Amino acid sequence: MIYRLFPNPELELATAPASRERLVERGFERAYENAQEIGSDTVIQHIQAIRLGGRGGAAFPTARKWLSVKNEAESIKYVVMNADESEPGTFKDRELLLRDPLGPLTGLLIAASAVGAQQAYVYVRGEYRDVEIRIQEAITVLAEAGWIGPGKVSIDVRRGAGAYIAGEETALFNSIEGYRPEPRVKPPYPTAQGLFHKPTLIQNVETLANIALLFAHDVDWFRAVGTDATPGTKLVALSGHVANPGVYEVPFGIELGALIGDGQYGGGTGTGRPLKAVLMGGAAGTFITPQEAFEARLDYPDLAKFGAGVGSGAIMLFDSTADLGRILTGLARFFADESCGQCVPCRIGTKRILELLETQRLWDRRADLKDLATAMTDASICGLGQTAANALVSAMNRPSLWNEPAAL
Amino acid sequence: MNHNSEGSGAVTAHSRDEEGGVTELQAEEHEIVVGIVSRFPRQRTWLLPVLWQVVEELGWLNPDRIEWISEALNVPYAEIYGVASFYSLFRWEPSAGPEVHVCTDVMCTLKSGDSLYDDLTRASVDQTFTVASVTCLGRCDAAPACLVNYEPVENATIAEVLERLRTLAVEKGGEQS
Ligand SMILES: Cc1cc2nc3c(=O)[nH]c(=O)nc-3n(C[C@H](O)[C@H](O)[C@H](O)COP(=O)(O)O)c2cc1C
Ligand code: SF4
Ligand code: FES
Repeated sequence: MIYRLFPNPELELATAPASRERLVERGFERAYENAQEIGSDTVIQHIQAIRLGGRGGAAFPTARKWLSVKNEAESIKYVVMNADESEPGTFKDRELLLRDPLGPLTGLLIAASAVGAQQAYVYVRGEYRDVEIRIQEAITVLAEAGWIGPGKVSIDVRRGAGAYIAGEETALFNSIEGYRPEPRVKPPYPTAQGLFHKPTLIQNVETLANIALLFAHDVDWFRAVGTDATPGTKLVALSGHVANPGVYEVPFGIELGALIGDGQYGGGTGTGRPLKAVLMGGAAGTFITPQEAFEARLDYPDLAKFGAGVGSGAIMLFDSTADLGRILTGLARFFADESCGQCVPCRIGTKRILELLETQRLWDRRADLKDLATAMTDASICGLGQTAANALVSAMNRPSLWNEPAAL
Repeated sequence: MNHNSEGSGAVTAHSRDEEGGVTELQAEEHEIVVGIVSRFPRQRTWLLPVLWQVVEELGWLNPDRIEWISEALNVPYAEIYGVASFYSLFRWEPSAGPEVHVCTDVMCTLKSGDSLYDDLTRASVDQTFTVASVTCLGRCDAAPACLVNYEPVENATIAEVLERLRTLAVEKGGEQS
């Protein structure tokens, strides 16, 4: 077991998640001061040196975003922590914020001073009341430490109210502004015109926690774990048919087989039945076969060989009793329900896919489905529509996942 | 985007009952809603917090309440309604008791979340609570998951949910006495 993003068990027992002791013992005080001392250019260079990519799903290079926002000439800028986590299989930010909220918040404050923002927001989904309370407690600790308050950066916590699409960055800005949480057309990108149309840096909770860790230590410490391509650790969320569901911190490059089978992690299906399929990365992720899973490692270049990615870190396991058609119908329903309806291909496409699945015409309408998926990918303005057919297509491309090979 | 106009504070209560008159209850509710809005800076960015506060104090949204918010914030009714109706956690109907949000999304259905929903729906015919099915609650590691009055219940069983509801009823009874 490795403890970086999560505190080690002794510390976790000895100190409260939102306490001054935790802030000091975790090195976050040092991180905050260190980042102020070395200045924003060096801060960004260090982030570049650890090749940090966003942990919210898209893995966009973090340093590039920081540099863009920093270089904007506007005097008003914003930083936002995206804690809206809301798709099937993804629940790692909940766990991180409950167990160590000061890490992500320290990262947020380091971000604010590096890019020159005076106002920070934390957007947390309305279903996470326990998490919201923990964030508020942590903010109180930071206020007492004198990091926020009058003349310094201030942090506002905004509560969502049940809308998956509000997690998309530009929809999230609209939500904070008091508009319908519908994604905006990009460009302009958030780094130039984000919240209130000002330059905005928005990052996932886990991305910001990595920032706090980096400056609590240094580049070499950070790079000592993980792979060359992707240093550091990842939080993975195991769910479905798995003996030990939950969130685990693992080094990048770990074998998926170990992650799924080892007793200290997933511990196998836990049902006494064999594994049938793994959905990697999230609801719009990629289905892989058990065979692929046992060959793969948790890293971007390695998973790319299987057409998969790390995504949010969601790993959903299904044993031999799982009805793949039913699971795909469930995923299709999720996207049809959550599409905001602005783009025709997404609005119609997500409904059409659901229909095809519900009426079990998937295989005879294969060609239609392919066209539909292409249209959605090409002509949707946000990631929801662009990727909604991913999991389905990946499953259809793997004949061995289906119990009825005759149907092919 | 500047809806934070100053002078629109003179809100007139013109909510009506069926016959067109203002009921006492409506006047009282109107006062509560206007009071809530006045606790926040009069800017559109505070709309979502205002809506949450109204739901927390009055239990649910309805056209009257939306209209009062619209007047107090000086933002058209349709705009406020368009925002409020987008979010699934807001309730639009009075309900006798607590609300149970049951996750019937993929990972919970795998663990019988759909039958938990059916069982709870049947159990709710006595109308002491309401049941709604929702998409993923971010607690798939403890599937099936649900919320009772927004508080999570993990690895939920019908017995446990009913027990929570009983506890809530007792707490509420205690408050009133
Ligand atoms: C439909 C949709 C939902 C999203 N939901 C979330 C979310 O809940 N949390 C999150 O961090 N990013 C979410 N994202 C990604 C954000 O748009 C954005 O890329 C991210 O917050 C950037 O942070 P990162 O670079 O640190 O990952 C979502 C994207 C889409 C298209
Ligand atoms: S792709 Fe879908 S969810 Fe995204 S903006 Fe278009 S309609 Fe809305
Ligand atoms: S699918 Fe039910 S909590 Fe995620």
